[in-house]
Amino acid sequence: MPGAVIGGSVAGFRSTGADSDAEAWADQVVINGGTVSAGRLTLVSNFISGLKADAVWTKCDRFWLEAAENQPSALTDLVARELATAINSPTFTVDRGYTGNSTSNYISTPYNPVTDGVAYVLASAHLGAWIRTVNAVNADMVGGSDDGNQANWFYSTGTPSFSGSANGGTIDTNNVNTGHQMWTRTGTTTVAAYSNGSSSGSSGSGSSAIPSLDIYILAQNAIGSPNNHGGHQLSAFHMGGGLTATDVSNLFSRLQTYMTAVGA
Amino acid sequence: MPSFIVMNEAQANQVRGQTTRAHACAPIPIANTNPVVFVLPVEIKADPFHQNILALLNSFSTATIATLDRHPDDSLNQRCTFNESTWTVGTKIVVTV
Repeated sequence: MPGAVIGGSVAGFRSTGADSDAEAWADQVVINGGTVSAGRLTLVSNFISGLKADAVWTKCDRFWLEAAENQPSALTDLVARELATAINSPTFTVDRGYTGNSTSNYISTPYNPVTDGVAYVLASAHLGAWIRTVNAVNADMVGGSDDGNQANWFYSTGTPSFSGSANGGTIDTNNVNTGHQMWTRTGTTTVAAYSNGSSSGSSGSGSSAIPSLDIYILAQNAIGSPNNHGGHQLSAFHMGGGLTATDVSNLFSRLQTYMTAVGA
Repeated sequence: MPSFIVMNEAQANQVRGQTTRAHACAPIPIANTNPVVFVLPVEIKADPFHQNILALLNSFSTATIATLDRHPDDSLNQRCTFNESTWTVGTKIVVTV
């Protein structure tokens, strides 16, 4: 169909060669009240097509690029095009992301890893974020959920600096504080942490169960309400199936390219 | 110390909900208050997505609170927490303590 650029937004626009998932994401952003510039569509298209070339895309159930042009873009997931909700006004900064206040705001995603998980399963799972600035407060949450079973990732002021729960099993690591931080479970008793694409820890802690709650960003969904609010600035957040070391390295490289391009 | 908008139950019921699509206002019930006091971060007043409740928010008092402790009643906390199924845009979510 012919493309029409209206007021800088992408409406029914199909740029030649753009990835079809990027185009569908841009269309959803417009439906959600936002705009996507042609330049940004190219960056997102390059990001998604890169992940597809790396065979990482299908291992991601949800991917929010919060370092975005506007809030509808930041809240619209790239994979399922689901819309997250900003609760009590976390601070949004264009092309940088969302910052929590450590007390009372966060982002509620519609992603429940039990009911919505495709790649994310008990013995194969990951949770990651691009942390632009870390808030040096103990137990400051990056995101996750806890219904007695946990999937989360949080910062602490002591050692280790990052701790996570990967479907019950735990992983601790002394990652550097900013950039791409994630854990990935690739087996029932195999969990690894990565910091900016490089291995930063491992654990044999076993998986027990997947928490059945919507995942929060900048807080943890604890039995249906938020706790451990985080004060970090997050530029991306993603969850999905287990990733190999090569997958993580490729994902970091693709994210770094995007973040550099937008100045995050 | 962080500043908060402070509300009673009736006032919180006037603003609780998804104000605009993907932007929700969820006053938090806090511990050690009787009757229960609800708070919101003052940052919400500057958020353009909540401008249609700004007059109400401006009519409520503010206070600094050193440590925000959520009310110990899990049921109350859950009823005061955003729910994508029931918090439709523009609908005020009434919670009875």
